[in-house]
Amino acid sequence: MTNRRNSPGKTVLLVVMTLPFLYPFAFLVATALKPLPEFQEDKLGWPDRPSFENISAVWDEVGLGQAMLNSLLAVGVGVVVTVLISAAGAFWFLQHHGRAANVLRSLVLLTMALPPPVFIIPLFVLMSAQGLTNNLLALGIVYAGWNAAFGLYLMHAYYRALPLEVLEAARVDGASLLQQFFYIILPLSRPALATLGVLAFLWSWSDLLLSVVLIQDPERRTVTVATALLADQYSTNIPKNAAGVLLALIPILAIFLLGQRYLARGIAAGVGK
Amino acid sequence: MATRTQAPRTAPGATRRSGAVRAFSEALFLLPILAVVGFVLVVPTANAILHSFTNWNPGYESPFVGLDNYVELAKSDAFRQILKNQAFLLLGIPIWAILPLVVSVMLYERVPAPGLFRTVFFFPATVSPAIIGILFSFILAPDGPLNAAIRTAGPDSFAANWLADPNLVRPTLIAVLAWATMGTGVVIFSAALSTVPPELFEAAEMDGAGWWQRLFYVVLPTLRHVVELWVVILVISAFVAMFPWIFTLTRGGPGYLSTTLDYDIYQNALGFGYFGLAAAETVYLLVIVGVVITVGAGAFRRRGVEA
Amino acid sequence: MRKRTTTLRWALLTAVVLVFGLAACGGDNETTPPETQTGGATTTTESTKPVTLEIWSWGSPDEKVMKQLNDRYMQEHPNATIKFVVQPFNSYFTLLRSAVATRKGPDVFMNYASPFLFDYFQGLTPLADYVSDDLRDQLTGWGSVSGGLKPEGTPYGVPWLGQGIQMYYNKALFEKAGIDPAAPPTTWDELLAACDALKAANVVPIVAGWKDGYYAEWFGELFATQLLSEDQVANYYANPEWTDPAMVKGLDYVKQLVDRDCTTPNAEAIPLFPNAVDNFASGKGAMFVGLASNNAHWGEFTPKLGDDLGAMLAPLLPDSNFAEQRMNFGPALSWAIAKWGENPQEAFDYVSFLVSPESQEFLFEQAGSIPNVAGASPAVTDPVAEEILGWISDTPVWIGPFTTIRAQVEVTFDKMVPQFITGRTSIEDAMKQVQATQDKAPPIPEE
Repeated sequence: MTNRRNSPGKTVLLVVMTLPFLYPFAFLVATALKPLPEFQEDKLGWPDRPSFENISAVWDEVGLGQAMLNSLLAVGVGVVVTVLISAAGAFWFLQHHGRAANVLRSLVLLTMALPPPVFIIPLFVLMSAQGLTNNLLALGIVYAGWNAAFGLYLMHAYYRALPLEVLEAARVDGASLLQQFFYIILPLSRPALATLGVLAFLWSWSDLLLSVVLIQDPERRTVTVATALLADQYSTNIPKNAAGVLLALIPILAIFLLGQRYLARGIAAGVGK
Repeated sequence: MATRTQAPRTAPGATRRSGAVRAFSEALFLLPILAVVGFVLVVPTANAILHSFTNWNPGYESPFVGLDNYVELAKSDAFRQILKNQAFLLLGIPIWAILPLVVSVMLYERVPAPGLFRTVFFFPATVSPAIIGILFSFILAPDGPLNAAIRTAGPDSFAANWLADPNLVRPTLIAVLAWATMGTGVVIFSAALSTVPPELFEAAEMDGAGWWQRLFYVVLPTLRHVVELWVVILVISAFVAMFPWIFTLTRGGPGYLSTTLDYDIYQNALGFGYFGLAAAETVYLLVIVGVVITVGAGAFRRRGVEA
Repeated sequence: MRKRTTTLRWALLTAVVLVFGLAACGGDNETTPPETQTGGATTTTESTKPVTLEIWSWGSPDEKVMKQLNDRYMQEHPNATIKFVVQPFNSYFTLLRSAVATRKGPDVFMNYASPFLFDYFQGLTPLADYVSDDLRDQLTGWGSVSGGLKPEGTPYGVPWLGQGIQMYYNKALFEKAGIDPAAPPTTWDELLAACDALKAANVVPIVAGWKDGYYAEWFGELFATQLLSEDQVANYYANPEWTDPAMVKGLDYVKQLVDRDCTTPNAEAIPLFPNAVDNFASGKGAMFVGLASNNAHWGEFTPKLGDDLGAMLAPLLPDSNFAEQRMNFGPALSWAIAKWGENPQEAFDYVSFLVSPESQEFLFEQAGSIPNVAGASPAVTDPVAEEILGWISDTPVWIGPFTTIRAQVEVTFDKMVPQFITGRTSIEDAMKQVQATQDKAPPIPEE
């Protein structure tokens, strides 16, 4: 108790430290709402008359609205598939803990060492041979593959910590595997599923490399790619650039505010191992 | 922890068939993840390794060239610069590791609303690197707000070309990454700190240890495993997660001074069309990541035995 | 038990939806199923089946002008739907590389009229059967897009528009510095004198932006080529020697301008597009190396600078091989028919429309793009344009190594520009890297 002293000096220092973390976003909002001529005069201040013209321009002209939908589709598919296959796979590993199963599990976890820069170019070549480029659903599956090993790790660790007498009882009562999975395991592991879902969402939404390589059609671009390419087009029109970034940021903010709890818990859980 | 599976009560004589059926229906849980991970990660990686020995022309004839790609990279000035850049980035690790640790300890020693601070620090960590990159590309622009603020507050000469000056570009990258990763570090260390019994710190305090002494002699040793984990994550990220930063902030420039391995793989393949060269570069990257993980895992195991 | 079957049904349904979704949501332009080809590629009459053509361009000429042309085409050809896609210039060639590797993408794509085109060789349809003799006679520039780099070779693209590099200057700023606006510098020494006068009047002498590298290409084209022999220039099409002392010296002249503070300070952080171009247009410097057509040209500058805009030919270097100032001019762009395209004839018909005299006249009048087709006589109202067109017809025109540069070589050169322009790397070392990339360039088809 005594070490947790309420120190005003420390608080002030911490508040000062938050400034560099808040300012860029304040600047972003101020710039996005500022018409270009005003920005050229005054880069730092709040706009005299905040206007949404940049935001609506960027929504239409650049098709950020469409890009948003594209991201939602790809990332949505990715998250659902990640969660399902990780939870299902972890369930299998829960039931099988022989030497061979452990080796297999280690191998799958080892794929976390195969990062996107390593697999993306050949994946691109293989997918294009099958006609799967420019395909948002296929991109979602790629996201799932990318996140699944981590999902397996998370879900398996979580299952092992669960009290499984209920599962035993259900098995004895003759419940099928599917029933055990859907009616016992999944409900019990909701926090882990939520964490995995939120993490998978954020990682996939943020992805630039996979989507910039696998999608060439401008109408199928994801938000991250569209915003990045925006910078090419509008390198002198910074307010429009800022408006694009702001729009792209909103879903992330939403997920963050809703899912922050799970995120923090998930990271902490990973650490605790 | 789970008790041995018990065979369900079924009619005698039906056991063997239901055993096979059971194994098959169990496998249905395993197959999807194996299939997805196999097709998305494993098969392409194997493909890359195979093609690294060819003059790869996807969709067209790709003649075998043996080790030519590997040799070309090893001899290339650009590749050497890239490796130097990667080494330079590793210099950021102490900053990226110590900074969140210090902040977490400050939050741990009661301040009002630690959760609120953590939220503010954590939010940037959840934003796409690409988005942050774009945001900072105009904050750090020669005529952007950072320089504007510097010019109003001090001498003009401090305003600089943060992303285009060869002496500043890499330190600037390290600073941006510190900004972006601090939040995750704070969350991790805060979680770890919350499991530490407060008596440890009280004892040190009562022995007259100052704040920094407490940090280095009490906190750091206690959280050693967590810090090591965080460092391993950072090192791996420095090799495999740099692409969105480089793409949005510098495109590898000036020259090759901020090009990282993963950005160069993309650039060689899709910028130049040198797919075989990119594949060989991929193998180099894989080897580096493998070494890092092995060393990291080895370090953990050893410490685990000691602790 | 009932619950289990319901769950299973949902699982099956989801799986089915996913599989069909993958198939349906996938891929590229959906053209109608190919009907039996009658006569195939050699028909000269246009086919009338409904088609959608995807066209890729990097936004030059101006896309609003292109839209008008496309609308006109669709009116005249009701069976054709033109999907005109503008990809950002900085990513254009990366995306094209992906399209070639995946054999999926546009039906028609823009490229340069130069050996650059051949770096996408695998994606090019040979056009011998499509190009009529009339078309060959009408257009100039076939030598830049054909096998062997000869006009008689197999064409792999259709040349479109002409392009040149020369300089522009701001008459008002010249006056301010005491320089006669009717007598811009014609030699290197006069250029340096003008530079000194402008510096004294606090005017940036030459607007520059080196970050994306193109400006050094333009400058290099104007300077380096003057020091190369005629043979060397002819050779640069197929066998450039980037480490040649003449090339290094030419680039060194450019660097000297930077070192003498004759160019925008700290310009290694400023990209040419759009910043440096905009800077000249808004009067932030007295001189600028610009293009003759399409882009960074009088069409953009006259609206902003009005009567203050002047044009000048590249000043003669002390050791120049040119007897007198000459105008740089050659074929500009090319349209390629994608090898994977399903409607090559319709694609070619569209391209024929774009290169026609009427279309090119329209482009000149609306966007300032100089035609490469006989029979186009657009109305010229801009005095600067008139002057430039005069140079094109009256002075011996030439093109140099930066007009014929290969795609990958250009990437390396552009990267090296901020390095050598600031002296961090010597020009020799930079050119060694460029030459290394040149040595890896795939050979140009001989026919």
